[in-house]
Amino acid sequence: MEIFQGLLYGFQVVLQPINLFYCFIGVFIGTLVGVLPGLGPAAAIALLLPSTFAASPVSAIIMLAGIYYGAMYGGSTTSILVNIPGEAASVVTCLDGHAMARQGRAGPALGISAFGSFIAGTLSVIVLTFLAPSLAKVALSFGPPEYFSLMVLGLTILTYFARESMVKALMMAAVGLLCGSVGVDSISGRYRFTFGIQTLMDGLGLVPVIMGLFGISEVLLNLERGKQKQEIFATPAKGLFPTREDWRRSTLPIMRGSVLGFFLGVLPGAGAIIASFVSYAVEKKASKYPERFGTGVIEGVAGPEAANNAAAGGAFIPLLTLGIPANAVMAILLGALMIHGLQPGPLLMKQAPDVFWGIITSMYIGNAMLLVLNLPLIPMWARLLRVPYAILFPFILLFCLIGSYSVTNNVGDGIVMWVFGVLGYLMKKFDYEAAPLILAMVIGPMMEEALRQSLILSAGSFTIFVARPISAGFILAAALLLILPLITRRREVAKAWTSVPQESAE
Amino acid sequence: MMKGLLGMLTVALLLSSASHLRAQSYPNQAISLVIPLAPGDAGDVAGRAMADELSKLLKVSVATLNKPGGGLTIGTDAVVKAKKDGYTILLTSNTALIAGRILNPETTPYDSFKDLTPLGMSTRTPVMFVVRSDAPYTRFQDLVEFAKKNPGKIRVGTAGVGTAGHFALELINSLTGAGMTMVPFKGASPAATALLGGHLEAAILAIGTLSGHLQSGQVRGLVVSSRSPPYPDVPLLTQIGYRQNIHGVWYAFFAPAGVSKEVTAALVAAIEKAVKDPSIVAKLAPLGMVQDYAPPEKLVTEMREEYQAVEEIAKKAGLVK
Repeated sequence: MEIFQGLLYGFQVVLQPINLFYCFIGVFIGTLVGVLPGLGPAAAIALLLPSTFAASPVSAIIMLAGIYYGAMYGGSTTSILVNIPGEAASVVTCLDGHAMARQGRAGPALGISAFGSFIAGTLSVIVLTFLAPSLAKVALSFGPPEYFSLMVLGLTILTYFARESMVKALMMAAVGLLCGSVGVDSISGRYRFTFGIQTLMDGLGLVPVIMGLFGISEVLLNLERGKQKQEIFATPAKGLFPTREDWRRSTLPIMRGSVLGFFLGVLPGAGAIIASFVSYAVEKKASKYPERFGTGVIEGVAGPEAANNAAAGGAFIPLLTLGIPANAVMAILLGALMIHGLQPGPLLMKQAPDVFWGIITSMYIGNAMLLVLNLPLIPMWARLLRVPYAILFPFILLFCLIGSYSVTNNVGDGIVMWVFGVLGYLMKKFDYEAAPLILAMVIGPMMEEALRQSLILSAGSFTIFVARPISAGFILAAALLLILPLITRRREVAKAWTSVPQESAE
Repeated sequence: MMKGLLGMLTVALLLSSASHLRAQSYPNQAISLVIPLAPGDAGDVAGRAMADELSKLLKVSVATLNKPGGGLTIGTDAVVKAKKDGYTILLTSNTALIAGRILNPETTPYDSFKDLTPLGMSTRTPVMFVVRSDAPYTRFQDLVEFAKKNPGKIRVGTAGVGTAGHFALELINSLTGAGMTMVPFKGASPAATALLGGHLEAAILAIGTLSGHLQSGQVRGLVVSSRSPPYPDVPLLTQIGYRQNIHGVWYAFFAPAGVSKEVTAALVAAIEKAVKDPSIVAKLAPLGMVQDYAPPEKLVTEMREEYQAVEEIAKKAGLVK
């Protein structure tokens, strides 16, 4: 009952015209930031934070939160259209989303990510409304050993991102792990692989690397093809929206993606990027035709896009109930709340119920606004594909440069982007996948840090990973995931062996 | 034709007189304030608030520019290498000027005392040693006693190697012989989270991150680096019988070395007013930050003392040779 009263109270707050206005501004800016490659929600929120000082705390936070989950909607757009993720969490969407666009199905791909995002976003707010306090306790039960085991499980899904050659995918994962180890070692404070270069002191930035591997390489590749040979994507007047068949195939992935994304979002640190990767792997595993993933399968768009939106909702739980930021964006929101004189954490619901319930209910309304905002844009985005490359590419380069530079205002990051751009170009020429590299680069540093922290906690004993139940569960799941395919393959091999002589006998 | 020439002459004259005026008075163009932290960080919030006030006082725009990375050394180094005209200034902390120099001299390419012109101390964030409120010890001495009897049983989270909390823990260990284990995290929030989740026995962090948990009563302070108005009952080490205090985090304004005296004087005067502005004091208090102005000479004296003390701690703890 208390929850319903809270919700009612929240809607009273949000439905005030001024707050509706701020909510709209937030999701609008969020969509924009999501669509533009490189420009991330963290930078946008930090830039706009000072401009909210004059507003009331509720309005300010509603707007800033809107930018965050709005960016998750927009992020898929450029992934699908030009194979360049607008957001780190939309890297996976490139795989099947762009393949769909090449088949003239950009509309359904954009449509299913908008609907999937809306469903996942709304589901996650519903769960957030009813289960926030108990989920917060789950988040707290994750210490370094649990994170390590979770990351081990995360690394095992790498193999699902091999499209053709498993060896090549694993090689790229190794490169990713190496890239992830660049920079200051957080346990000893020593610098690794920095070669005295200041830009590398904090490691390779994820945004410059992604913009290079995906954005710059795509531009270089198309330059080589020449302007005469611009691919004309078929964009039929019909079929701008998902068909009934698309819906049938996407429903389960959206549901699974929502659940997965939400839980990974609640855990501080794990977040939307890993959620989108895990969702893709799960869909590939669950699919009857895993070999077709990467060729434009709608499940590969629906699942990850649902997952990253659900993760954005889940990330609010530790902030609102414990005062713990789950990621960089939440850390800025925490700062914003504190500047407005509010103390996020267990006391927020009592001390500032308008803010607590206002944020939650604003997400119901914001998600609806985003759907209304995004659906009419789909035909417009689909037409963007007809823009000649001579006009489109300079803009892409510009936004990639702005995006890479604006993270730390460091020219060095622009250079990192170009280095990875050339690397990404070569990788595309020789059929090496960039996705395993990114996943390994995200997971590697978290895994190493958690491993070494755990061993400090246990005074050097490895039993800490199996003595704690949650951690043991992840380790077991990872072991099963690695061993099961070996067993089934052995059976297949055995079958093949027994069938060969029979055939030759006939 | 003549009219046109005359017009051009007038414009040229006006322009030259304007540039003449410009040369006389500082400041006459926008100043950029480099903050070596990510947007939204506590130090960034303080910097932005003071930049707004400085804009009003100096009557030119003071724009903040975030250059995070390398434990604040990247942004600090950028200002060391900037033009010495007073239009690039810096708000940085002891992490860059003291800890960074001592721990990683090879990657900290500046001399904190020679390469910067001090303009004034602005803000302090006390560092506090905290335990969960369900912990059995209510006094710092009880915890030290327990730690001595149970080596390795007290695991203390910090915001990372080379942070104020790390040095504070090394100092506490060397003063008390408690032998507590340091567990470094990437930033204060993950360390606070691990403490709340029961994965650590204690944490030693800047108050900003902790204030929400202190107010809700989830954690309890046992020792603090300097007086923090909202928590008057938490003692300093010297108040409970030790000879030295732990160091907190502080932020101070600097310009590159070799800035002219007039420029320095103008900046120092404006910074003093901005730091003492009551609305800024009130704004930063909930973030655990205490506005505590000190003039350049006093700032340098404190820096020298702290440098010596921290270098000694680092040598004792085997962090440097």
